[in-house]
Amino acid sequence: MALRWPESFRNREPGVWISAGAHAAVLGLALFAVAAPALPDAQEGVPVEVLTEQQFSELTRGERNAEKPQNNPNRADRVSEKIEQREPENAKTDAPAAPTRTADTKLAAVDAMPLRADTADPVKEEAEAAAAKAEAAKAEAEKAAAAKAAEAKAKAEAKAKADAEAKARQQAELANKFSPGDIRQTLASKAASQSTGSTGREVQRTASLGTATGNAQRLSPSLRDALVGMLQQQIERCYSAPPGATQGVVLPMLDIRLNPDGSLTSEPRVMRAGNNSVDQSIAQAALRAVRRCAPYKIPTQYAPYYNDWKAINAEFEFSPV
Amino acid sequence: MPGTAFTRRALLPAFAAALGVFALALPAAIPAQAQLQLRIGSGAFQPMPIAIADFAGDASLGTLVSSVITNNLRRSGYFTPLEKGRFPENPSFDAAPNFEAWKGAGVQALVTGRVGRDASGRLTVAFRLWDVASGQQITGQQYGTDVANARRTGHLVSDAVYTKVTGLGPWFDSRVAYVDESGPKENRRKRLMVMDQDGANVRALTGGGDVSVVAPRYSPAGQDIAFMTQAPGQQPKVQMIDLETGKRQTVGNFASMSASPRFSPDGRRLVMSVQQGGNADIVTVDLASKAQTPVTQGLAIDTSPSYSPDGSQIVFESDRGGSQQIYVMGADGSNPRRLSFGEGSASQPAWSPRGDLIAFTRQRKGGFAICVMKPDGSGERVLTEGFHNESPTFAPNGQYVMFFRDPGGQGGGKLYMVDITGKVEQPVPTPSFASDPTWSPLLSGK
Repeated sequence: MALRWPESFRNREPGVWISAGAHAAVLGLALFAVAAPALPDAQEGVPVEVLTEQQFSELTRGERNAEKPQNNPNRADRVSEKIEQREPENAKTDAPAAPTRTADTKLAAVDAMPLRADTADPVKEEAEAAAAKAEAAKAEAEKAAAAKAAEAKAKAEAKAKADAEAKARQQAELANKFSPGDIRQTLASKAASQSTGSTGREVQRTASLGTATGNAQRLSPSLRDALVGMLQQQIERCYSAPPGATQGVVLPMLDIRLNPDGSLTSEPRVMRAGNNSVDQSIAQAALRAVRRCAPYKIPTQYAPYYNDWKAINAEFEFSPV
Repeated sequence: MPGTAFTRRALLPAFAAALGVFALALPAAIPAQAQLQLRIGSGAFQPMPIAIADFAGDASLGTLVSSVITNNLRRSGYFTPLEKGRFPENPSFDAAPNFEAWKGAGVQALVTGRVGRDASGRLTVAFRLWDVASGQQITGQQYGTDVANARRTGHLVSDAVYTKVTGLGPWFDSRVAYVDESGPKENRRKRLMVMDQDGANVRALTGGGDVSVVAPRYSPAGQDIAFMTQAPGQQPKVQMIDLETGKRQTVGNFASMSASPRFSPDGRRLVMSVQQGGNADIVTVDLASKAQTPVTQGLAIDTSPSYSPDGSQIVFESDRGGSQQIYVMGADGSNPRRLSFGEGSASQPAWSPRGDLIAFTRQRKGGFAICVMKPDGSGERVLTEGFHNESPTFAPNGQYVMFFRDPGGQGGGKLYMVDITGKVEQPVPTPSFASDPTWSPLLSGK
C-alpha cells in the first residue's frame, strides 16, 4: 500500500501537481527575474516640506484649464537675491545648459544620480550621462557650497507655504508636461523664497492656476507669529503678576474677543484659573491688564484675516521671585 | 444560505463605497485652528495705583480711617495711593463713582467708605472697593466696633483690600512687641513695649529700671509674651507676661541661664535654650505641668529654637559644626541635620507662619544680612544687607519680615520691615531706639 499511493494519487488528483508546478514556476521567476536595483547613494539630504491634507488641497485649488497664472501686481514680493531661470523646456532636453544654474540650486547633484526608472525621456538621460562627467568637478564644488547655503536657508526659513506656493506654481505650469525628473528638480532645489505667502492686499476673486479661489485667506504661520508677538507685547505692557504670585499654582487663561479695530468686543472671560486666593488674584490681575491695554493696535495688513484673530486664548505667566 | 448573498464578493462594492466616503471625509476631519494662542509673560512688579477717598459721615473719624488705610497700603509696598490733591472728585458712598475721571487720574482701584454711629453709640464702618477699568464693585464690607477701635477698622478694611488684590493673607490687624531702648549707651534702659504694626498705640509692659528685657516672643493666641529678663547680679531667665492682666511669672526653674524662649504652635509649651556648664541645650517646658523635657544634648551651644507652623520640627542655631549654623530636627530632638552652608555664620532662625521659608541672620565679613531659605536649606536669598541687621520675625501672612538694624555708634537700633522679595523695605516708627521685634498673630484670630 505504501508504495502504491504515489501512482494512484498522481492519477486521481492531477490538479494538485499542476498547481504545485505552476506555483514553483512563478516563485522561481519572481526570485530570479526581478532583481532590486542598486539604490543610488544619497548625496545629500533633500529638504522636504510637510504639508497637511488641508494645506495641500488649498494650494492646488484652482483650475487646470485656466489660461495662465494670475499676476497680482500688488503682491509684496521679496525679490530673491539670485535670479534663477527655471524653464521646463531647457531642463528637459538641454543638459549642456546646466552650467547656467547658480550655486544655490542642487540640480547638478540631482542630475549626477544614475536614474533607472526614468523612461519618459531616454534622450535626456544619455545627454545627461555624457555631460555628467564634464560636470562632475563643477558639481562637487557647487555641491559643497550649495549644501551649506541650502542648510542655512532651510534652518532660517519657516515659510512653508511660500515654498509650497512656488512649487505648486511650478507643478501647475508643468502639468501638461509631467515628468518625474521635473518633480525631483523642483523638490531638490531650494531657492530663496520669493514671497511671504499668497497674500496680497486684495483678496483673489478669480480662479487661476495654483492660487486660492476667492475665499477669506488664512494667516500664514509667519504672519501669525508676528501678530502673536505684537499682541503679547501690548498686553505685557499692562500686566505684572501680583506679589503673592510665588504661591501661584495654575496659569490663568483668558478668552479675549476683539473687534476689527482692535477694541474689546466684550469683557474678557476667565477660562481657567486656580481655586485658591493667590490664583484668583493673578487671574484678576490678568483681566485688569487686558482691559487697561485695550484697544489693541492691529496693523491693517491683518484686516483680511479677521476671522483668524477675532478670538484669542491668552495664558498668563507669573514668574516666581 | 442561498438568497441572502452575504458573501465577501457581494459586499465588496459596499466596502469600496465606505472606504471612498472615508477618504473624502478625511480632509474635513482635520480641525482648523480657530483661536490665536498667546502667552503673556509677567513684567517687573508694579505697585497698583489706588485711591482711598475720605470716608463719609463723621469728618474726623472718616479722615482717620482713610488715613490708616492709605498708610497701610503704601507701607505694604504693593500699592501706590493717589494724593488727595489729585482726586478728580469726592465720591459719595452710595452712588457709583465717575470711573472715567478716575481712569484719567491713573488709578486702577478706588476705595470709598462711610463711618457712622448706631443707636447704642457703637461705631459702624462700611467700605466699597471699586475696579475702575470695568466699573464694577470688587468687594464691600461693614464692621461694627467700639469707638476706641476706630483705627482697627482701618486695619480691617486695609486687610480686605490687600487680600483681594494680592491674593496674600492679611497682616495689617496685628501688633508688634519689641524692646525699647532709652538712656545713654552705657546704661541703657530696656523695656518691653507693644504697639500696632504701623507704630500707633505704643504701650509699655514692663517698668524698666534695672531689669533688662530682651528677645520677647508672642504666644500663638496673642495673649502672652515670653521674654528673657536680667536683673543685676542674677542669671538671665525666661518669664511670661499675660497681656490682659499684666501678671508675670518665671518659666522653668533653672539654676543657670535660660534664654531665647519661643511658644509651640499650640501654645502649650515653651521651648528655650538652657545653659549647662560650657554649653547650652534646648529644652521644652510644658506650661501647664511645668515639666521640663530636654530636646538636644551634647557639648555644643544650641540656642534660638523656633517651631515649624505644624509643630513637628524645630529649627535652631548650633555651633556643633565649629561655627554658628542653622540646623533642623524633629520636635522630639530626632534626626538633627544642618541647613545652612556657605560663607560666614548663620543664626537666629525664625520659621514663617506659612511654613514655606525660614528667615535668619547671616554674618559675613561684609556685615549682617537678613536671609531666607526653604525649609530644606535650599534657595537661600538675601533680603537686606547692612552693617548690623538682626533678629528677623515674620508677619502673620508670611510675606514680610521685621528686624532691627543698629548702625553702631552712640545711637541705637531701629526697626525695619522688608518683604520676602527683598524689594520693599520700610522703616517702622518707634518713639525711641528699638530692638528685638516680635510680630503678634492676627488680632482677630485665624
